[in-house]
Amino acid sequence: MRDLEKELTKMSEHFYKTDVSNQSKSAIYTGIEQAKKRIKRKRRAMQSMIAAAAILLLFLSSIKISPTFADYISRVPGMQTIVTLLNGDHGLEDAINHHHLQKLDLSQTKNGTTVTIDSMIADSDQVIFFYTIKQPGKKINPQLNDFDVKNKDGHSVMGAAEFNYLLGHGSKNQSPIHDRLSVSLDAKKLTDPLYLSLIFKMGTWTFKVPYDVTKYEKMKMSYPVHQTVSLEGQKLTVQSVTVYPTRIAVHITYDPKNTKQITHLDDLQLVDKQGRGWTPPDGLVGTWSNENDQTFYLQSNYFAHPRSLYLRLTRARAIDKSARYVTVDLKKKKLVGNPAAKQIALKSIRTGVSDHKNDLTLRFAVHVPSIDRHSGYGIFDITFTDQSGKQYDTRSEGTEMFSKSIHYEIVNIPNRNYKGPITLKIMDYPERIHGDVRIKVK
Amino acid sequence: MVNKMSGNFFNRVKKRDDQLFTDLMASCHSELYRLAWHYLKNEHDALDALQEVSCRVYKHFHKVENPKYVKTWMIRIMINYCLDELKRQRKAMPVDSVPDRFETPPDQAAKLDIEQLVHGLDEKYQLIILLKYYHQYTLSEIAENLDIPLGTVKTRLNHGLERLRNQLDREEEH
Repeated sequence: MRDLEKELTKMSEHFYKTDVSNQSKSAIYTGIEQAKKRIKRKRRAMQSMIAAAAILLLFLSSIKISPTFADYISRVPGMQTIVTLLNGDHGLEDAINHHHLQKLDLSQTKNGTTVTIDSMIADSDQVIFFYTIKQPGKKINPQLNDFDVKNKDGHSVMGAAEFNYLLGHGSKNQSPIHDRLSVSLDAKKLTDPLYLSLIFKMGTWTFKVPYDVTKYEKMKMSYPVHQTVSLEGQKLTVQSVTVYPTRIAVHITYDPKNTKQITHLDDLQLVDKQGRGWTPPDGLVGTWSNENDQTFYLQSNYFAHPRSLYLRLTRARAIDKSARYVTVDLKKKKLVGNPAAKQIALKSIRTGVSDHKNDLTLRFAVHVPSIDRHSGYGIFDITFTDQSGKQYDTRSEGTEMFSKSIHYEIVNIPNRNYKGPITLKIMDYPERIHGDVRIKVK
Repeated sequence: MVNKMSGNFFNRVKKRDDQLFTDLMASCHSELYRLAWHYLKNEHDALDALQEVSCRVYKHFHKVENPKYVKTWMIRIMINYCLDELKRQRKAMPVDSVPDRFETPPDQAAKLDIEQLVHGLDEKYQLIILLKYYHQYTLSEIAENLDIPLGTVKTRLNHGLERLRNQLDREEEH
């Protein structure tokens, strides 16, 4: 008869006798470093349709899939991985249901590492590649440093882009790794084929990808709208809605005479009379041509064929145009010019905390309303000026969610001999304007 | 035995002072490593676990409302990570392969058996048994740390132990 209590006591003794690895502390340090990297998110994608940019997809919401789709994927080998990478985007699920996923199986091996472009979903606005990296026996983190999509004349056709290397087991260097790369396309330059280059730390892989320009050009529904509405007196014009198989693009312009700069439309969505709604995907939600010209993305209803479509909007983030600049005296470590941006305070300026040891790390406390407690949108532009008017680039930016009501906005800048205080521009701000917009699109 | 964090220390850590946070993690590294090792049974996986849990803790430690509970919270994250990892490993394992890590020397068989039985319990029972037997918490400390009534802790402990006894009895019958 075994004595449970005795065995549990023995178990306890055995626990304390277990040797601790001499690498356990360094595992902790590596983990902390990894967390810092995950927190840092460069705001590059909201720059320009043409500039090559990458943002990390943050997988915040749980994945819900429809029963029909669940049935479909259970019958197709390898689909489970792709479904995880779709991240609950119902428009993309629909595209796959309608056989819009194109098998590619393009594979190349270099120095023992095999990269395979498994498949893609494409239209004339975007192409989403699903790819796999296999490194038998290796434990190298295949960090994707850069990527590009070029046409057959060698010109880049890539606009804003996003990828996610954290999916699944973020810190585990496991093989195979499955990932997704979504690339916005410059419709005017498309050719068949396109060339996709993936630049990893350990080398560059280039693939020739078939792209049927004529077929994809036809796959869209455009609805010109040209209607002007206002939220608390700030005017915006919905120019057009274009439905592609992979997403819906809503083109919006703001009246340059507005007293506030609208920075983001919070709850923009399309609805139909049956009560169905199409909201932004988790990931790239918009691009700018300039501050008064934005394109927002929603999950696609291309294959859902709604009979009616209405655009709904009740709130937007906006900041007084007179309060858009924050001036910081680096020597006195003080905010010297901050007339109206009440939500922002300078907490500290330090050196030695960034990856570049000499960089100055500016830490701002930003008071956020509860609606923003989980959002980490960047507050500042990635360029700044000194008193001579010379423009500089920040090294990196990040957001730390300190508490429910305070986020820390971190800006790292090279430690140079700036002339006088520096001026940072506010690009997004946790204050809102409200209204009740409903526009018939279709 | 319970090494609680002082409020002052924790508050400073909450402000993401990296050095202090690292100190906090380092002060628990042996216990967390041992916990991981007892689930995963090899140094490599235990180190991976420690790395991932440090990463998760760093990102989310602001969610811990009370400084006293931070260590229990880390233990809980580690247990959940290890259980997920074991599930993942089972899924990934080819049917005909018998991994070395499950082969145990005869003299350790009983000890590891009971441990494996504990690791197979529902997470709510497992947590309480491990806090008591691995980490030497008293029942009232467990109640306070998990923010549940002492009665619930006792019930869960009894239910957990009862399940273990039943499993041992079944084993003897065979």
